[in-house]
Amino acid sequence: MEIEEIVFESLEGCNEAFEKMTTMTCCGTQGGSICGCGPEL
Amino acid sequence: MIDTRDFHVFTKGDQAYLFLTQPVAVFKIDEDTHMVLRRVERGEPLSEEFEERRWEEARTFMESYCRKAPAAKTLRTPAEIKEKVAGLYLFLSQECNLKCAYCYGGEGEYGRRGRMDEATLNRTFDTFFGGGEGKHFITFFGGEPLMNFRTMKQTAELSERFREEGKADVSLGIVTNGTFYSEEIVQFFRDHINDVTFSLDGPADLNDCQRMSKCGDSVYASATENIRKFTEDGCFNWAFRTIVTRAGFDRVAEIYDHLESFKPGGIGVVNADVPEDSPLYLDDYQYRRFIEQIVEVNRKGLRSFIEGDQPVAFEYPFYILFYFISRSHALYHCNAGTNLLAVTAEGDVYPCHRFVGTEEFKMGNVADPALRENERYRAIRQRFVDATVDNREGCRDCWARYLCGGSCAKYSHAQYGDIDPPVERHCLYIKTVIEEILPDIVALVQSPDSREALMDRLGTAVSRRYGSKGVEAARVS
Repeated sequence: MEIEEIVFESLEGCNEAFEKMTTMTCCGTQGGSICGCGPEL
Repeated sequence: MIDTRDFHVFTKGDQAYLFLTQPVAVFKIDEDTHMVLRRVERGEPLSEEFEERRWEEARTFMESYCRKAPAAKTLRTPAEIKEKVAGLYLFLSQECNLKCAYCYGGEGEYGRRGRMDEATLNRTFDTFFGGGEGKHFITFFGGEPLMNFRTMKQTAELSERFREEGKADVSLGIVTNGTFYSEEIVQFFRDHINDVTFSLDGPADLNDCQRMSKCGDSVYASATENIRKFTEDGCFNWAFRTIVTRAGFDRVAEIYDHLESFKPGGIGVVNADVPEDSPLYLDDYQYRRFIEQIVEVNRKGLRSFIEGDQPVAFEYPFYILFYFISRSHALYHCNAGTNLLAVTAEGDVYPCHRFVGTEEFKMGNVADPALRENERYRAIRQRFVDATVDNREGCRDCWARYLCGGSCAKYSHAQYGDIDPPVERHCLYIKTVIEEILPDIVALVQSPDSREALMDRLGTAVSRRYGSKGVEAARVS
């Protein structure tokens, strides 16, 4: 059996940036605007 | 014990992949393992001794991995949901100068034509923003919110006062059709607005067949001219919101390229939310074609991001990547009904802008000083708190549940009369995007050059999109 894990840990330094961007991407006005629909700030 | 809901196998080209739901992990696997796991996932019997042995081997690996992997972080558990209302859609004007063919609000009036007055605005602030809870977001909505510019200006004044008094730090945004322009409006945007979403449906012929004036005239030329003037000095973040109907289902890439030429900060593309018997409704074939093109648009966005161009339409790759690098679980589609609400021109409160006018979800009115303690408000809010993917039947056994958070509650309610059941098309959309985009992301993080480029670009992108007027930029250390 061949199984190769894809390791994402090396991007840990980007967590904060990712969290900010995904938090602020919005369901109702998708595409970069902010309405507060993402996880609480 | 590994369960079929806790793994998923899929292929992209010649490569097979295994996804583990709980630890949020992905693996490249060989063809035989893929074939065996696919049979198990589908509930098909294993007929040969080799298949039994391989299943046993794979099962042992998955169980061992799940035991040893770090526990996933849940982004927002029911117990963590605070009372704070972080986002408010403010229906300043339930009137519109356009009559878009797909409008779900009855030409923007939602059955109650009117404009919000100052008293209702004051009550809204007192109801939701008095607690010194930090950042809040208001989105001016309608109808066309600029048809009530007076109350919009009063909102900015009130926000300033609340900020000075330490009650709330309110950030203002707007969704507008771009047909209203004056020097006073553009100066107001420069001074007070952080985020603007312009509604435009692509090239002139597409826009004109579904977004026309009340008289049926084209507004494309005036809207695009205004949008260019509004955005020329880059004083606020802005994006396009585009609705795709049967007229444009096979032209998504063209729509995207057209909108991209305006250099927005983002482009949101969604299919029209219309009944199945509407001539605008995408049939199953058209919807599948639509998703295929959405995948390509996201792929293009990911590529342009890495290559250093202006990043746009880069939503799903970001979400997927974020969930993997931080091993996160999403339990909800969005914050509707809890930390996000909508207030109509008359002060009625709903779980979000999409529920406005649905009587069953009217939570009360801001004229009620005890609104947030009222039984009805609390009960509706609790329905949304309870609607996690672990509680939603149809979601709880899905392999993609924690990368998805469930379908939009309004779409579920419109289709099933209940906010819980998942909408089949949403499931198809999410699963397709994950299976198509995840291999691209895998290739990205496995290449030292592209991984380095990704890290380099992130800090710049965050600052560019979110760094102005009141929103502190995240810094990549």
